[in-house]
Amino acid sequence: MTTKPSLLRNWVMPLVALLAVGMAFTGRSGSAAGAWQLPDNYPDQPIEFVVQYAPGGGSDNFARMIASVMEKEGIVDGAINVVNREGGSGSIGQAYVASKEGDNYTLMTMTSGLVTEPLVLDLEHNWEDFTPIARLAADQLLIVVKADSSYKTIDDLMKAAKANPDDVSWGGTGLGGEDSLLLGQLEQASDSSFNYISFESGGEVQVALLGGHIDVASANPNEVIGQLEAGELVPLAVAGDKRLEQLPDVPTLQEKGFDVLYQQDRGVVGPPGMDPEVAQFWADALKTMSETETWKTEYLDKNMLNDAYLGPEDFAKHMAEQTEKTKALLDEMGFTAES
Amino acid sequence: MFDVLQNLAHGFSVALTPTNLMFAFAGVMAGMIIGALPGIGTVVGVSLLLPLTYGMDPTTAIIMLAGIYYGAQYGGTITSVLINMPGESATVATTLDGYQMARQGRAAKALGIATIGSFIAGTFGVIVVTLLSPILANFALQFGPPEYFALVLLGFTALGAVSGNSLAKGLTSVVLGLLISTIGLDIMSGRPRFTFGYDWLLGGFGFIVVAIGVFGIGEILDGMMLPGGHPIIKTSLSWRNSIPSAAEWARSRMAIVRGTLIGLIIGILPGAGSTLASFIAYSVERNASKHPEEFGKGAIEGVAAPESANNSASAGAMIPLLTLGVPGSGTTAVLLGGFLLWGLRPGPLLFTQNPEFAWGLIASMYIGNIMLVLLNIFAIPVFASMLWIPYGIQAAFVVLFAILGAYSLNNNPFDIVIMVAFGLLGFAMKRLDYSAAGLILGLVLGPLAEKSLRQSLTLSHGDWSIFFTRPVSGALMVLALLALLWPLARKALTRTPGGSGGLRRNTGELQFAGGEE
Repeated sequence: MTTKPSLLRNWVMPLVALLAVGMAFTGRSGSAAGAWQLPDNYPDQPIEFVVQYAPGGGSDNFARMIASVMEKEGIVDGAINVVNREGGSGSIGQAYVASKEGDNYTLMTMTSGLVTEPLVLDLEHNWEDFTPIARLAADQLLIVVKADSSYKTIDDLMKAAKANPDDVSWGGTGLGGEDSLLLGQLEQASDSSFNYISFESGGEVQVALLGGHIDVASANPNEVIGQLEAGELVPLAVAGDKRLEQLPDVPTLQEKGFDVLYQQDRGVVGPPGMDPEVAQFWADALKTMSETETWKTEYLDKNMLNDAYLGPEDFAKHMAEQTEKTKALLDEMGFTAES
Repeated sequence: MFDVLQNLAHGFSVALTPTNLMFAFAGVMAGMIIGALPGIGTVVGVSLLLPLTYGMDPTTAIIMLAGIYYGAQYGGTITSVLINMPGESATVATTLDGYQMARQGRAAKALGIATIGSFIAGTFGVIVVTLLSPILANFALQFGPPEYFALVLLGFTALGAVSGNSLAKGLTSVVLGLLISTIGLDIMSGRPRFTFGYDWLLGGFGFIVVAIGVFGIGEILDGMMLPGGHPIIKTSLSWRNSIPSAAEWARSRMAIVRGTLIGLIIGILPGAGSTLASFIAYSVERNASKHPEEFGKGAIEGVAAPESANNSASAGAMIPLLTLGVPGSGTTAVLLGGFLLWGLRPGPLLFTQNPEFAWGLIASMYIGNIMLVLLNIFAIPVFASMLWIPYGIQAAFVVLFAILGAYSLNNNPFDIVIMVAFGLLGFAMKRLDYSAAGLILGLVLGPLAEKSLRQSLTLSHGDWSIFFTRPVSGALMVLALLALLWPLARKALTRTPGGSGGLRRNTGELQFAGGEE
């Protein structure tokens, strides 16, 4: 029995398989550069709408809803393909879109994370690397407690937090993320201090709150809406600038005298150097879409979001303001990017 | 009680419509294939198919996607047993004895007991979901951070079971897994750890990439060093060969019962998941067994227990999903996203607001489990015949699927490089007799342990007594200590009747060699 032929067989076949797959990846060609004009029938090619987070998440839902309403209402001819490129807290999808300089057939979802995360994590790409197109919705954070909690109002809660600093436990997702930024603002505005407990997802926060393991939590309305309806959780306040239509009795923090405003933006951006005409085309299309009844009932109402349309210039200005505000807040919280 | 039966009957009337039956079948079939393909886990499988269900009737969509979820628990066993490559983190524990059984020519038998255990556990799980969902949802809520930490400690007692010959090497593997699990974004401090400025490392190393690397690629590299690959006694393709003998059934019976119960309890807890369940079931079985020395060498109950556990866990995970509207695992998180996508409102009112959805899903799980057991019984000889393919060709296909799997995870070519690097590590570990399963144990349980430990200590302002003063957590802590000390205690006990230990081991081995006839 000789070993040579079988060794050859054992090694060569896997190598051939490797090579074949390798070639499949490198075979992709880049788009041709050159002068470009907006064709009359734009989008004359399918649009790749990149979601930098996993299927089933908030951004995924947002993008698929846009694609579906655009198609249903006949606002844009041509296919919008939603593609998930998740991983690395959104950075993998962002790097992918950032690499498509000047591409007029790619869109990407935007959340406030695109503004705040680079400040905390020193990421390679931030919102300035992309072409702003439009903001469509503002997600207000709710402050919720369990139904049998001794805190019946936001004033009860703040009184307790002031009386016993660091004693009231507040659950939210990752430090440096939206929940902790909201709490940071509230602590500053009220000169109080909570015991912040980080969880990995909104679902985990909810379980800990329902089980009575933490005292209070902040959450996006669509995460807790089922629990609110069932009466298991009770909202104390909303962190936006106006009350939610669906929860007219719940005060805003501002009404209660706390100078706090925290809402999460949801919008659409393009790759760096996208043609201004194309950006305007999508801003207009998205505006038309955001005014349809389908969008309002199927997306905004269902997820308890406020309509918050901003066109390209206002959107860019808003993100610049948010950057400054968040930077100042992070500084006060003693939390800035290591570089 | 009558209400429940009425609701269930209504559920069956939904699940038995031709469309829903067809999609349930498509789901479990796709789940089997996704589970069986190395490198495509359930999370990826369900994620890939979720967008297709956009605009579908929600009940039909959930019936199909849930079919993929529990179907993959059956399918994931196949590659774990045949080529030592777990397609799912929940089937890592199965490789320990399943692959050894395959090398002894008992691949069909391993797949057979896994199918039987899975069916019993899956069906029992659905019965419990039918009858006890609201009560058990409240039980799940009793678990806060300290309880989770105690539970994970219990999971780590599987260390002894995965270590093989050397406890020191087993411990090293687990610690290596723990270290790897610290890479990425640290949610407690909001800081990146060990990412060296690379953004793509923020998410850490994905389980699938590491597992197909250390198991699949490592095994293939190792096999290619041997002429003709690993010596595996090819199973006879007779259909009857997959049915356990009376002796094997006697050994597996209680393993299936214990595995089912452990899986169910842990599956209900959001965030714990079927991987923890399968490791704890394996470890408990080894401690309960009369011949623990056979574990890791092809003990049939070492396949029966974790396979039962991962199936009842996936049924149990439906409880928090349906009654609380919170995901219990990575896959149910994707399913929950589906609920929103289909316009449903997850939460305590789901059963009353969308009864046809909730009960249709539950009824479809009874049907799906029956479909799966039939599919498996007929498919086992087909899968087992894969071992007859020349090793070189087999290896090429495994490498091909591994690459596709790693890439499809994030559409990120760099994942392939990482997978190959872990393949080299797996090869080295195999040659030096370090436990790949130990590495996975550390990798999977590490984040859960770290998170719950730090959350608990933040809650208690640094006071460690929080783990012992709370009743559930205290009880679990005591259990974990007992599980750690039991093997030592038993060694001391069996030593007293004077040298009979060695003799017993011999007869044990004879016994299972005889059982093969």
